[in-house]
Amino acid sequence: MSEGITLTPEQEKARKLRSLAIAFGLFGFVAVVFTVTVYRKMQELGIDAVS
Amino acid sequence: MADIGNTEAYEIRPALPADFIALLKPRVMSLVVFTALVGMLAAPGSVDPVLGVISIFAIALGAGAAGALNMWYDADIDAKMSRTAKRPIPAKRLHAKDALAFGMFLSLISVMMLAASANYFAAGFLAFTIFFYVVIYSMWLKRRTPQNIVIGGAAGAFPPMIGWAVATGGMDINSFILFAIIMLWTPPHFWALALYKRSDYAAAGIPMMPVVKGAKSTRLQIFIYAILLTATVSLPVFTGLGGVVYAITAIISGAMFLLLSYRVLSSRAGDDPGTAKADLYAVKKGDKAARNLFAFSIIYLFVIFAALLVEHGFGAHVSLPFAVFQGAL
Repeated sequence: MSEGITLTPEQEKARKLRSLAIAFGLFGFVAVVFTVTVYRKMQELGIDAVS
Repeated sequence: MADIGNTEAYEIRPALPADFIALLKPRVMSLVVFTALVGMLAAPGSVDPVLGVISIFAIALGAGAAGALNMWYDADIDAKMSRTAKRPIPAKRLHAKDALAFGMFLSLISVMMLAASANYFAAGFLAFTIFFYVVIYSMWLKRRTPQNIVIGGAAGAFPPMIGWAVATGGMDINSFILFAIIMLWTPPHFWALALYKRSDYAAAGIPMMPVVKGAKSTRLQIFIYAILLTATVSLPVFTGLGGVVYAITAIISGAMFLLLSYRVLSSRAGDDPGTAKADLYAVKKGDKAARNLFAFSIIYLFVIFAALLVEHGFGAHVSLPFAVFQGAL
């Protein structure tokens, strides 16, 4: 159902930028969680992650 | 809840990602990152570099979350002060509820991230710091007592202890000294600002020391805190945390800090409460001494922690014979 709101070009551009920022943020968060999980697992297994 | 019939509630403002970043108070965030990093590197033991970077990032995020929540709560008084009127909420680029949601979300994420990358103690400490800054300082103390930033300063002083906790899982006398340095640095730093922005704080109804007790009393208290601060800054030399580089830095910058504090004491800074200028460093005639101390206080804290970073992060630590408590702590 339409809300009857028409965005101005400026508002559309701002929304697109916000969406991109959220996407990057989510991707970053997933990457961090993945990295931490891998590092923790390697530590548990006694593998030196740095060398 | 938004009223459907209220078209204003549905007005869509073009908020940009930069507005959300501004909510995080990037300048405060950078200081938090720096002091937490120093705390982490100065602590005994070693931290996995990757997990260490993620932990610092989590602490930065937590600091940003606290900043966003502070801006949500203080939007009304921010609008009344020239220095803060351009922040995203008073400038109507963001809704206050968006800042609240953003801050709450980031608080949760940052604490969880730190629990995963470091330990539960550090994560709990971060959660407590956010709580302290938002609830104890912003909601409780800031509008009620001229001692607001004396007690509230603890929130800004916890990051090096969190960094220390990341490395050790706990705290000790040295991490407490780092805390005490920032805690004692906060009053002269903010009161110097409040002296030349007095009318701003008065207009917003914030009981900062110059507004409540007057400029003369504030100038004296700044000087007393400067003495306590410089004395506390010398403590790492005796515990072994600070070496030669730190000692030299502390003596030179400490002497400068005391000199500038004395100049504030013997000045008439804050006596004329006329309209404050919008720019952070712009001053009225007679307030220069306060502005100079405010500006130098930032450099002072930076060089003190930078000296520890050089010593502990780059292997330049050479203990002094005064380190009488080294090993006993």
